[in-house]
Amino acid sequence: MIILSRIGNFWKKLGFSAKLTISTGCMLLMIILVAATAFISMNIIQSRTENIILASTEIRKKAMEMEAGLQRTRQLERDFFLRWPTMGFEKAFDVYVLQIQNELAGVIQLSHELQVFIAESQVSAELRQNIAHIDFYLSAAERYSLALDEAVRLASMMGHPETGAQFELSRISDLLYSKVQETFLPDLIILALESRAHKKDYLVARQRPFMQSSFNTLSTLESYVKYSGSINTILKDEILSIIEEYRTAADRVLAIDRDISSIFNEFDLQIEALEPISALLVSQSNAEVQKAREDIQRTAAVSMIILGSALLFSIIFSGGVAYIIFRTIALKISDLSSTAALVSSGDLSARARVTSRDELGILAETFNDMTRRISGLLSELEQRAELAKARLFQAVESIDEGFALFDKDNRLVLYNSNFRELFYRLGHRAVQGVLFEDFIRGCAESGLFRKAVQLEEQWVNDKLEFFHSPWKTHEEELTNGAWLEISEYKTKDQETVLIFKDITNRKDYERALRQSEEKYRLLIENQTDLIVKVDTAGRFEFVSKSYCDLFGKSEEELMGQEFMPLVHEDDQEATAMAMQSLFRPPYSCYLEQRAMTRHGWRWLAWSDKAVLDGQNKVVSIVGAGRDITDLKKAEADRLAMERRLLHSQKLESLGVLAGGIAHDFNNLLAAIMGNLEMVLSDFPQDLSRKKQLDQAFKAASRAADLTRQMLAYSGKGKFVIQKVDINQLAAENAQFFMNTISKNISLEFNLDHDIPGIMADPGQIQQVVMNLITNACEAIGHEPGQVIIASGIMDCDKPYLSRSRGEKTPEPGRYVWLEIKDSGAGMDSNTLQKLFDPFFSTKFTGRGLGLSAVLGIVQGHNGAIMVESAKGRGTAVRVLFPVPDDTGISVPKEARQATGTGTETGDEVFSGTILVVDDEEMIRELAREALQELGFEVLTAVNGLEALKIYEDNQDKIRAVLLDLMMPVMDGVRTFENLRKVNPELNVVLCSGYNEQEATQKFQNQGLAGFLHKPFTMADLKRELKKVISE
Amino acid sequence: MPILIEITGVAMPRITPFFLLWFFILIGCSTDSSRPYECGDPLGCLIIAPGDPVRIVSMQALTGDLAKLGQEYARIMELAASDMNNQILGHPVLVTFEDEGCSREGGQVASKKVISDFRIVGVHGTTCSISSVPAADIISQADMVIISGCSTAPSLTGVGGLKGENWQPGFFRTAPNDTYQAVAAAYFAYNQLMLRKAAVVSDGDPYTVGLASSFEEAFAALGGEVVFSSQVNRGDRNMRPLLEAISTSRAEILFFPLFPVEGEHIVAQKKEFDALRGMKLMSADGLLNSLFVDRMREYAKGMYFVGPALPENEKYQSFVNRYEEVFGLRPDGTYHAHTYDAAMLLLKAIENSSLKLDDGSLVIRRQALRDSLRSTHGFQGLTGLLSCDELGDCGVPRFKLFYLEDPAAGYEGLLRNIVSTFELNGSSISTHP
Repeated sequence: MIILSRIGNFWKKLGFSAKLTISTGCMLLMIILVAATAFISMNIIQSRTENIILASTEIRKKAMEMEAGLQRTRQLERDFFLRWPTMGFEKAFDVYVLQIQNELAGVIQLSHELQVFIAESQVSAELRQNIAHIDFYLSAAERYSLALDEAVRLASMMGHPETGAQFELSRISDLLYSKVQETFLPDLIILALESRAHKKDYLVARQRPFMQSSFNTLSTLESYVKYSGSINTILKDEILSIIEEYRTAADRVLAIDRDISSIFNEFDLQIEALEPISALLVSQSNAEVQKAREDIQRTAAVSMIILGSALLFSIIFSGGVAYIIFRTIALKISDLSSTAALVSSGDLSARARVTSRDELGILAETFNDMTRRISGLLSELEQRAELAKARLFQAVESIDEGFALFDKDNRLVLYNSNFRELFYRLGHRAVQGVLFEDFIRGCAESGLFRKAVQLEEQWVNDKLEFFHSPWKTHEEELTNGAWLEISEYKTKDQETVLIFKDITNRKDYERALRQSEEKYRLLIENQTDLIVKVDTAGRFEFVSKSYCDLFGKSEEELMGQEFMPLVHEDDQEATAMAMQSLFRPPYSCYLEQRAMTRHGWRWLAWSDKAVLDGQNKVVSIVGAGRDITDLKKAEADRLAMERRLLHSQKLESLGVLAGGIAHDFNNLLAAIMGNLEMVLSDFPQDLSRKKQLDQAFKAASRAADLTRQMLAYSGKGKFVIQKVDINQLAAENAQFFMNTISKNISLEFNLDHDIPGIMADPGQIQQVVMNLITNACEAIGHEPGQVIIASGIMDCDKPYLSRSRGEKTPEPGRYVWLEIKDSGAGMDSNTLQKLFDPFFSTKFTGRGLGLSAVLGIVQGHNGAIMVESAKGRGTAVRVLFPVPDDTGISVPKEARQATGTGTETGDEVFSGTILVVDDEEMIRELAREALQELGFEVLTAVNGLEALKIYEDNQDKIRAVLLDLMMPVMDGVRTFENLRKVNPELNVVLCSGYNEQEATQKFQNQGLAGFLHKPFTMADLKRELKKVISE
Repeated sequence: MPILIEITGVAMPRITPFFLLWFFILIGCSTDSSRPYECGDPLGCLIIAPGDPVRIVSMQALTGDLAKLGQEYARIMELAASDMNNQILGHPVLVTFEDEGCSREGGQVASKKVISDFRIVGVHGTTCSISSVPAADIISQADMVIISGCSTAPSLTGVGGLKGENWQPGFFRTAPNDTYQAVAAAYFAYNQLMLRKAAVVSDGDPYTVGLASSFEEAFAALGGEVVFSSQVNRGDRNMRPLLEAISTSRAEILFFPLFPVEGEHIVAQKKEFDALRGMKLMSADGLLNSLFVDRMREYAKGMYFVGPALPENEKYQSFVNRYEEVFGLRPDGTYHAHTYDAAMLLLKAIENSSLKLDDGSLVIRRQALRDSLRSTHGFQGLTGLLSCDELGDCGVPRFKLFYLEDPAAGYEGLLRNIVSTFELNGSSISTHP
């Protein structure tokens, strides 16, 4: 590159004459070089081609000579083998074999020469590869020569006049014939002749079957000779010997013939193998010559091309020189002239090219310098103009809206890219030079504006009219849903400015706002909750329809009015405080208030929120309210229910406590009363201390009553169930009371005598009646009054029964009722509520267990109790007992017996042993003494385990067991089971402070002999044991 | 013996002064960094230039009466080369063909052609024993090797450790020696067919002569009598004189181990002789081919054939399938399996005995190649485990006797109707009727 650059610089510095001289000289030199190259190349190629042609011709000639020699040899060899039988072997040998050998020698010599010639000549590689084939050719020719010698030898062996096999066979054959003739036997002579004929056939045809036929004939002949009796032995032996010689000679002939045939075949194969080689050599030589000729033609063609190329090159080179001159001189002048023309036409940027430093180069530089100065001045002016234009363009482009300026001829002269984007669909009707009318018609026809779609002509006219006298901004909706605000102004030059502002977002916002307002309006209109908006002074600014409906006022009546007067006066203070809290964060509150609605006072719950302005100043308050009157009531009911439930749970706990205490009391009382009873029975009647003992026994008896009351309250005092006539029971007890109560109280009966009996514990029912009558009398006090005792039967439904003061509501059904009604002072609600609470009493004296026990007994019988009382209006207490399904139920035997309260006395003496099992020592000792008094022997045990042990040791004498139910270590149930395992017939009397039903249900169907309730008397004990032992 | 080093693949380029100049410059600048290979093989070495092929000639009877068989065996050579991926030690294998015409002359001319090209490494062939006789001689003289899969003539190798009349050091074969085949035929005729008088016909071919003479010896040794022994010439058509002679000999069996044309004439013309109606015909593998069976049909009914046992293993079946796949027809030459073994043995021996030089050239050591073939032991071929003896016999001598009972079943049916199997165990023959 550097060298080329230097040459270029050097060339530029040269003058015209030097350039011309160098160019012409180079051209001549190149022509001479091309011509010389072509001449030398042609000479070389010609020489080489001639050599190849000569060599190929020579090869072809030698190959053809070889081929001809071989063919002659083959022909001579065939002639020899064909003719020697006729012309004689020796003569044929002389005539043919020597020639054959000469010919073969010639062929071999030619092969050698050809091999050497090919190796030394400049023939092609293909031809050179035939050296291997010529080797084979040579060896084959040599082998041919050897085979020929062998064939001649064999021919000699076959055809030699003296020793030849063929002649020997003929001689023996003739000898055989002559010997056979000596036998004078025609058959044998014919056989000999036949054999000779076969032999001759063979020698002519050289077909082995003929010889085999000859052998066969000879075999027959041989047999005849052997077994013929007419031939003398000497002749016979001679003939047989000759036959054997014949066979040997024939076999020799056959063998030689086969060998000669083999050699002939070999000749044929050799020739077949060699012929293609010589043919190949000839053809390849021809091809080589042909190729050489083609080389010559190609060389000639190449020479023509080279010469033509040289000519062409000369022309091109001349052209190049001309081009250089043209570039160096003419072009520069032309360029300078053109540049001057351009400058004169105003193109001051035109410059003449300065490509050299010669005279024309200096001229061009001067010219360029002049035009550059002019150009500088003009370009400064243009820059200023361009700057002003650019500013205007930028100003127009900076407008966010579409901008278009129509001149006073109403042609579009200026617009910005926003305008182009808006009206790109108009194409050439929204470009510079377009009349406003064309533009606006284009808008209409393109379907850009929605209004123009159906009223095109009218719309166009409107626009044209407005264009000529614009007076306001107007809006247009486009067909794609967008909106444009179009402003038109006239300048002082009566040009028209159009500004297209995209107001789609604003329109969408307005539409969304309207839809939103509508949506919320519908929401509020259909809202069941109350929605109000008040100003900071509490005056309505908005009220929902639901609010108006609730308060029975129209919106007009409420608007501008204060809400506070509608609020209950008790809630106004809280409401005012809540309103105050809305003026500070979190600007919201919740309040409940009563308000005067068209339904009266109703509880309303309000969730209020302050509406703030931009400065967090409260401008109004929005409230959402709901009528919660029903909720309030439900809440109050729920609280009352919870209180009642809590009360019930308390009473139940007390019941459990009372039951437990009563049980333990029974044990204690049993011991006290039993011991007292025994002491009293032993005391003389006149003893002064007996009175105190009687008092003590009474006190214990009252304690037992109290215990019974407590058990009744707990619902566990029901000992015996039997059919009870409640009328009779009420009447008897009332009469009993009439003797003791104040005379100012009148007792009235209003009994229904058709009512059925109820299944109940008569003792407890009696207790109910007595307690109620007692309470009724006490409620009247010393004032005159009336007590009414009534009874009846009624069907009770659930709502009625739910008024029962019991914890559980009995099942609906048919009930017998007994009502005790007094005209006493009555009770207030507080007293009424606590009426059945244990230990609650309004009296100065009393235990407060009477009504509690009544309630427990009623509940224990699945009944109900109703109380109606009011201060000053007396009290009515009604107890209800279910009518049994089968009123004919008989009272159990045991129960009837158990109900007996009389004490049996007598001096009956018992015997045997009773086992007393109780964990209470007092009971054990009491029972021991009592039983011993009755005549029993007594064994005691503190628990079940010990009882079992004692029983096992004494089971023969123990007649019965008195068994406590509740014991440590092993309770009564398990002890009973284990005792029964030892003796299934054992009599066991259960002893318990619980009622019989509850206690014995654990022993159902197990054969419990009897039950003794604590506290028991001596009479009870005696009666029960008597019953057990007697059974 | 002079050591000859032959170099293949050298072609003289056209040398111009320009190239000469460069040549001398390169010669002057280069150093002799590698020494030429020194051949120590007694028979010389053939150095095959890198990329040049290993040339193998398959010399078979490509024309004439046995052309069908010869062409099949030539294809088998191609198949074997293909099974070697047409490569030996990185050099391509080039198989060319020469026609031996199933004649002595053919074998001679073809062999001469082969040895004229010193680049030939080995020869696979020939089809006929008569061709092998001159071929073995010429090829051996040229220090090359030739291995045949079907030239069975005993004279080509030898019998009982004695060199045969035509033994040559460069000749090997995987076909079993006919000595045992003839013994098998005689054994069967005498002991299983219970025949005592035999006629024997050959055609002068070493194959037929060897079989015929071996049969005669074996039959006589068993106690039989050869009542007629003669020859026919190749190309004879009139067999009546021969048959007439046989009929007078009262032979019970005719053993004629000929080739199809002559054999066909004998079989066909036998029908003309009532006296020969009871005579059994027995031929050998020369006629044990579809060519003969298809042409003779009913004429050949009741004829016995002795021939090599074709293998029945999976490898053989695979070969048959592959041949059929490649060439579109099934191989039916008697010795196609043996021919394949011969090809593979030759290729493997070349591979085992050759040396690969650093420049990629392959050195074929002529004597080493012969030694490699001769030392073959336990080579797993299609026909069994092949081991070559000192005389060049590598085949497994195992033969079967076939009985043409149903000509309609054709050649395949004949091959299925095996009446006896003979196997050489050491020096004794075991038969399996």
